[in-house]
Amino acid sequence: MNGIVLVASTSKAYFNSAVRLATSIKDYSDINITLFTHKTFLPDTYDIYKIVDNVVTDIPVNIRAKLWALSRTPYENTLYLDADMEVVSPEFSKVFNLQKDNDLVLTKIRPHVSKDVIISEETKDKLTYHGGFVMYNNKPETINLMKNWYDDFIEQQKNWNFPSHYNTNMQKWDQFTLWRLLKESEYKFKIGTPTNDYRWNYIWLYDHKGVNPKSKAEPKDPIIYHHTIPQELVYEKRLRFRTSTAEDID
Amino acid sequence: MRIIKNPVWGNSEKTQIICKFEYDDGRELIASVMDTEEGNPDWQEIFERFTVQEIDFNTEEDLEGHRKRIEERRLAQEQEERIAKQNFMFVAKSEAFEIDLIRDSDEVEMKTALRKAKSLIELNCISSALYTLEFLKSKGKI
Repeated sequence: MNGIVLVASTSKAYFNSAVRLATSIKDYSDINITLFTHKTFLPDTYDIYKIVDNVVTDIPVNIRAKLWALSRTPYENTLYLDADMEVVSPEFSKVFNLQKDNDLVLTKIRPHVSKDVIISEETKDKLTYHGGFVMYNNKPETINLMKNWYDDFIEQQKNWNFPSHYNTNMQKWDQFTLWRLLKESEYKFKIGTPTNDYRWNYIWLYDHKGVNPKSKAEPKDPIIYHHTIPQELVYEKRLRFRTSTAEDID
Repeated sequence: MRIIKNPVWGNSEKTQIICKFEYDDGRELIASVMDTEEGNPDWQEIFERFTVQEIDFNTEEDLEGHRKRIEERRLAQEQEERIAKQNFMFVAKSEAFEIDLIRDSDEVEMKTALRKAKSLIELNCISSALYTLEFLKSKGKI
């Protein structure tokens, strides 16, 4: 079965946004959805199972709980979407046609709307793939990649043990972890990028800065719109205490 | 002892020069220098050290730097306004979709229009229409 994984951790703002995303997914498709979130976020005024198909609540309180969830997907082919995205087109119903024989399907980072993309001035390496749209199969190598993505990111946050020519700004980016894992992997993952990939991960800044700053062409309509949740809202609705274990917060 | 540095024209008639005086004791001050009927020694000193072309060049560079700073401030302000609007619309749409009648509605086209609304007025119109429609449906009126 194909399915979508959504993750909402640390702040109820992400949960509310994930519900809005799930609603939009169900408006355009029958794709199964699993939501990873905290029990304390679940609503008592409506039935969450009218919006998503499965709920998993024993997740870590971590801004990158999404990485923890990726290897725990219940699906053969999974699409992970960031909670602050929203489906805006019926073309979405065919999203799993993008999988084909790829291990991973990813969209690309556009530097003109991104903060840090340069990994090393010396080697000219740059971050390539955006972590907001991640489609993957359940081959052991792929699931292992997802597991390593989380474990290595947690380690990366604590210790920066990389060559001195690496930009230290990379420490906070999980896209750097993915880049490094893909580069160092003995197994060569088949990675696909959709035609007009920007439509599947349409960053809101494209409305003003365009998709390609060198081209005057108008971008095509988005299929999935990628908002940014206001930081004040994330902070206001955040969990008030943290644990580093995977226990439920009540 | 003081040195005169970076003279630029202070007016388009080129009768005023703005420059920096640097003193031996480390003090710096910005000076405005004009010639006088009796002859201003500072004015004469400037033209002993700098040519008119050099002052023209300094002036153009200074103006270019000024234009660039104004443009950067304008772009930064535009960006701030865009982010503020995007944040505002995000919160407004989130609140709309938290209304049960709207969230649970089967009117996909109207919900799409709501999602794509570019202004608060557009959002209000669509959400009001959708809410009213679903309310009437829930009461069996349509």
